[in-house]
Amino acid sequence: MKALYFNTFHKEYRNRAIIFLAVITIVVILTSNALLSYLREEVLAQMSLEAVGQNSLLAFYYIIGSWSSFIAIYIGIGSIKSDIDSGALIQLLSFPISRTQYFLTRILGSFSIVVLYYLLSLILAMVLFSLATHNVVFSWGVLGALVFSSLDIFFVILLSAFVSIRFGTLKTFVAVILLMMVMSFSSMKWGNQEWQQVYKDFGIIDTFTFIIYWLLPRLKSISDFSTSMLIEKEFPKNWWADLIHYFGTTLLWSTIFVKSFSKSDL
Amino acid sequence: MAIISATDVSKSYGNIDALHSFSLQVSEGSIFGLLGPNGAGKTTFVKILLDLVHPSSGNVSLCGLPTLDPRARATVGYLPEKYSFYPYYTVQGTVEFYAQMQGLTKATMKPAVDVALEKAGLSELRKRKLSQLSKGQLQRIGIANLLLCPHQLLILDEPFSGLDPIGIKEFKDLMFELRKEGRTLFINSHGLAEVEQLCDEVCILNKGRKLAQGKVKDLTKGESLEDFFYSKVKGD
Repeated sequence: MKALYFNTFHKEYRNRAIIFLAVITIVVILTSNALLSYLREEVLAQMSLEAVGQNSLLAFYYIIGSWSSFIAIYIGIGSIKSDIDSGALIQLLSFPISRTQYFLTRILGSFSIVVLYYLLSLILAMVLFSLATHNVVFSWGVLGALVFSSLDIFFVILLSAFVSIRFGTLKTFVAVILLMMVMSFSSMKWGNQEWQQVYKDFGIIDTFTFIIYWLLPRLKSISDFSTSMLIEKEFPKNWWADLIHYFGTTLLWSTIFVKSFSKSDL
Repeated sequence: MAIISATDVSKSYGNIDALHSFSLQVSEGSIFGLLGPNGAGKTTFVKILLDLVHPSSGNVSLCGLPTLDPRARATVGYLPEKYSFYPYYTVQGTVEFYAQMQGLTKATMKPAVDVALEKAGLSELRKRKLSQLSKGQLQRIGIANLLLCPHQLLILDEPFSGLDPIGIKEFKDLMFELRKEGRTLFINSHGLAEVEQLCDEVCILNKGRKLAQGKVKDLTKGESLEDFFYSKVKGD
């Protein structure tokens, strides 16, 4: 499985879209850094250097965080579909590996790429912002936030990889983004409801979002945990319940996707 | 012992019967040919052997293990009809990757890769990228993959497609050599002349059903395999 895991990296580091995104990230870091230097001298003279650096890093984290979902969808789509399109899948599955091993290894490889991309971007930003402010810009909260963000990334990759087996790249891209929006909406709608209020005036949209809220991971809640870590805010009450729900539903959908892939004719 | 054993295998795609109660036993150490016109169900059967397609009913085993068990494929080498892999890999990189996928260790990999490249006639092309190779040269990478491990069973899907006459001659010689080593070769082919020369036994399939099976000489009774095949399929 090691060979297949590293083959996922080998496949993606030539991917032009990934190279383009990496270049854009570096441009954003350098632009932010130049802006930071300017602000430090002209506008934010009254702020401490440490505060300027930390705030820049937080702003940068938000930018990278919003991109990471797109990168996760893109890499997720390519992880298995590119093997099907190139004809490599049949050759790969003729080796003594099960389809479950193949599927999960590709997902794990893709997940590692996106998290590595995220981590390297943050390290680069921290180094440059530290140099610009002559202060060590570092927060453990950023690394904690990265752990929670990576949970979101994993599910998005899993979903994109599975949907792309049946549908084209564009359809998968649109479908996953729409589903993520519905998942966020459902989380917001039902996340803070009192139980007594839940069953009042239950319409079609309520039923639909309620099902989504319970059957799919609450990515919005996980993303909120990430923000809490980032700004060192207290976690919401019962946060662990949402975390357990995430692991339960991710395990459920992973099992459904793997079973479905294993039973399909290629 | 039968290295391939299929009993009452059926496969339908909607209303179309790709295979209907198909049974087949292939004995160890032979060269076996599966023949049939386009749409006969040959590729479906090869895909069932590799667990890429699941039969609607019936049982299939390789070397005594059901095809659902990934360990069954540890004893099998496969050459696809249309060889394709990542174009940015080099010839050597591809064969090394295959060696790793087949569980070869670092210590055993290098000599095995060198021997496989040499036998497949790819030693001089080892640094080339797959995107720079011709169809016939790509097919040779698939052949190198077969030679990496001492597989008991080699499944060859249209093995001569893309090879030039020299390549076909060399590959036929290689097949005889592999049989001498005690390996079993299962060939799915349209190349009747090659099959007649190579195979100990053949099976003719049409519209998902078996029309004939046996030793080539016993079936043809002096006719050419081409004439026998034509009369069987047209008479069906």
